Amino acid sequence: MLRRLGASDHRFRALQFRAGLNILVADTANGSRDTDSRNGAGKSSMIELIHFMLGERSEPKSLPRQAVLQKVEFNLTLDWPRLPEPVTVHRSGERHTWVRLHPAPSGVDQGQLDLGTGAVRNTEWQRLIERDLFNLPEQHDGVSGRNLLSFLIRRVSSAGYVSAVHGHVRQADHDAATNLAYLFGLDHHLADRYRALRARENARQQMQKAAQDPLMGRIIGKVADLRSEIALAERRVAELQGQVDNFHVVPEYEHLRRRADDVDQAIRRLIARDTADRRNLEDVERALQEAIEPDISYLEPVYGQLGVILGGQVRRRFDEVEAFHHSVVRNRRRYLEEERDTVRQRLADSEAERGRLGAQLAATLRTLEEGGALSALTTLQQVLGEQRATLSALQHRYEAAQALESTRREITQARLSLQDEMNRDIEDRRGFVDEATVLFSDFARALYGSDRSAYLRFEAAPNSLRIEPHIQSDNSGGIGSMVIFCFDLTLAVLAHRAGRAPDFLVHDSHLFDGVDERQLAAALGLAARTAEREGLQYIISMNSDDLDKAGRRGFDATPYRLPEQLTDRYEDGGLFGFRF
Amino acid sequence: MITPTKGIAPQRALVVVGAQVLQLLDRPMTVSQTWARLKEWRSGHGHHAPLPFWWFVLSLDVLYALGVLELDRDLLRRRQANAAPAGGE
Repeated sequence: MLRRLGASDHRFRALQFRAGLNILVADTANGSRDTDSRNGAGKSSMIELIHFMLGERSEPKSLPRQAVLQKVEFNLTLDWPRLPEPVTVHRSGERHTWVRLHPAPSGVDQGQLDLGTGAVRNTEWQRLIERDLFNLPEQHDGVSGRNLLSFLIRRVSSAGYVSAVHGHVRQADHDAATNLAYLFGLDHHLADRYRALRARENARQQMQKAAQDPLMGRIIGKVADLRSEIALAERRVAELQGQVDNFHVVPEYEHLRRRADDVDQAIRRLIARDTADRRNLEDVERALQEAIEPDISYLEPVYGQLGVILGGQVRRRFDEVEAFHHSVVRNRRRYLEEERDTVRQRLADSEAERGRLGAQLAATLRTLEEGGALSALTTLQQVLGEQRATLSALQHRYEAAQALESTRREITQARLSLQDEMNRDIEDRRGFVDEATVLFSDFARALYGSDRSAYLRFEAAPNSLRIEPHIQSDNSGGIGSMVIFCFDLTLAVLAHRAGRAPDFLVHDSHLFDGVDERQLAAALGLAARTAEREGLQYIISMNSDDLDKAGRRGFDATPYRLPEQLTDRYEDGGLFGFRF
Repeated sequence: MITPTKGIAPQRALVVVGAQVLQLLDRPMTVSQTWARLKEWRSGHGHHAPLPFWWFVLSLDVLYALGVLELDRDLLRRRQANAAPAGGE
């Protein structure tokens, strides 16, 4: 039960609430001009403030954050489950992310406490409201205290009186239905799955749009293309893996390779030299054979001819020439033999050296053939890593593409099965559903009499749980408002009975705009009776002339009027005690 | 034989071969070194007529007889024809 709405500003008209029906009256003051209106007296402001005190996330344009009000600290006192005395919450527009609670309910998260002032973060206050006022479990996806409160305290400013099944105009169908399902005692988990499906559907549509884009499409790709790319990538990975597994590291690979090159060079040089040597050897051997020529009988005729031809030119005697000749031929033979032996020795040495070098080269080459350098292995492993990353990226894209191509079908199937499940659940909870229907129709009859058909229908639609309140209409004005009235009253009664909601229900005077005075009087009477019977608190703001109309139809408002009365008197008649 | 005749081509005549030897003998050389250089020079200058070793030795004999060549400690060297002959005379 809400007990008191106050403010630190002394001009504020603090409102004391009682159990049962509470009517906040906005009056036309004596002497006010006809052009003055009661708009701005503060009826809607009361509702804005109650929301603000109950943890609403405050927008910069909201009422408590107006320049003239933001220093004012408002307070709301309300009964708290399992606490002997009421809790008072303080909050100002200036410091709207914090609230002060007195006394603090048990289980306040210490981490959310501002130790300097004892204030608690607004988000923690929201959590406490969900836990204690609405009995929500820790996990409550899709249901939130703020959304539930938007049904119990409807606001004109967020078009709360447009549709019975939406707490405010921006609430999505599945969102509203999930919260209503909780209040009505249906399976809100099931109802919330609509939300999850909706989110998936949205994501799928976005992705599909993206995939149709020529550029983005490349990022995702087609399942078939990706499959073959993956096959190729897998083979590359396997090949590389095999190479890495069989790799044998040769220490000092580069050094060995240089040595092999050097040996090879040496062998080539030897071969070149040998070729020259063999040719020389042949020459020498041929020369030797020629030098063996023993016959020197030709010397004499030559010498004779020399003397004939050159006459006095010949300086040497024949025997000297003969001695010279022998000397040359003898030496020549020795030279040639020496040379031949040297060359033969060199060839033999070279062959041995070549044999040695050849064996060395073969061994080195075998080592090199068997393995590779450590750096080569590192490079190989790096390439393998890259290929693996590519493969895994491809696999992710494949999964994404596959998911994209199959989700449409999946979502449709999930939706159908959810619809089935939801319908079964409604059938299983026939008791709750019937109770709600009966209650709603009772309320409608109390307003319009028993000749109008009225029902509340629960049905699993493809996209959300559909809750449909209906009162047969003869086009009389304000029937939509009365549907909301009956719906909210049903909701508040059932939720409160089951302990799923606090005991208050707040309506704005706009609810009764254009409502026939007979229904007005009947509604107020019904509200008073129901509130008393169910232990509810029903707070409504009302213009004094509407109340007069109800009075004429036999509704006595006297016991329900709040002592504080708002007027449109210019200076100080409103809720805040001053105009701004 | 020494000079070209009907049977001896000019490039085989002993004076010609001897001139070639003298020309190559710019420093003292062994017999085989001289022989090798002569063959090299002849093939390099288009003298393809066969030249056996003994013919080469004969050309050396001519040069010696003329006093323009001597054998000194196994090295052939040129000498001036008008200088005093080594040993003998």
